[in-house]
Amino acid sequence: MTAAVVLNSLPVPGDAAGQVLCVALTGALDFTNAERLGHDVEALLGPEHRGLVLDMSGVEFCDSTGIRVLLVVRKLVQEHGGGVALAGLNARLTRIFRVTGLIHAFTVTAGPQEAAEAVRTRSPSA
Amino acid sequence: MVGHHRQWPITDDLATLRENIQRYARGAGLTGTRLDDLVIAVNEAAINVLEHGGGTGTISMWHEAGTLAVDVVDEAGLLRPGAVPGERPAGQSDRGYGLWLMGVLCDDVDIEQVPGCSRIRLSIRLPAPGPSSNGSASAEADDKAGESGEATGGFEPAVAAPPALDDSAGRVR
Repeated sequence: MTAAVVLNSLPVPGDAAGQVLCVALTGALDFTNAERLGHDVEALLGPEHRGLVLDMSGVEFCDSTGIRVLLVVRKLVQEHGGGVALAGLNARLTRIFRVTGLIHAFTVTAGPQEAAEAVRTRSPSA
Repeated sequence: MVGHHRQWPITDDLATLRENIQRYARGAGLTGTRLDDLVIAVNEAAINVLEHGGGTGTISMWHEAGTLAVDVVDEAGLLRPGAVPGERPAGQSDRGYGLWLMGVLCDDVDIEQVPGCSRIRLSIRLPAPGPSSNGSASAEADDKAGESGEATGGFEPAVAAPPALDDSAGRVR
């Protein structure tokens, strides 16, 4: 089984209200650990969160199962009225996100800072 | 000439499998996006075996005449020729989604079925070796370095042709 993806919550500058959750992921996301990642992210999401930033720069691989789980997380955040932004996709992740067309389902940015700004500006209560 | 064969069992250690595939493919000359394509495609094929194909199987890999080929054989035998969808399936959760991805990412996907197992063959063309390339020998060298968790299958040297599925079971066309 692939080692669990490690999650680290990061502070979001300028988000005094704490409406944006920013989490850095490290590891490889695949069939054997994707479901667990979904649960782990869900556990970090609180009712106050209107947006989610996932810093993917430490994720070296993501397969279709990983994408499926990210879509579940996205749906959850959307139910809170927010959006999900992904930062720092490597070439391989960009490739699978593009080929599957799912790159359009997420806001994708180079770094977590822009990602945080992107989800904040689309949040209706911001 | 046939680049020597490698074979690995399919287990839930997908990370090691990806490393093995990547090391071999890189050694055979695959780089960049095409290398990513192959690793993603083989990973999807392995997932399908774990999820829908009985949970056990074998991956074998070789290269020949400018093409890198990967055979993914399951022990359920439910996968049928022609199962690769031409259009992206609506849902991400069915088996067809991974098959569709393999079709998009590889130059050729071929499925063969015999009683008791199905074999999906993923093929990808290798780039023509450049004049300044410092080694077609790197395929051998690379892939001898740091082998771990690798089954030394019965296919070793001088394989004249890609191995077919076990014909003894009686081939279905």
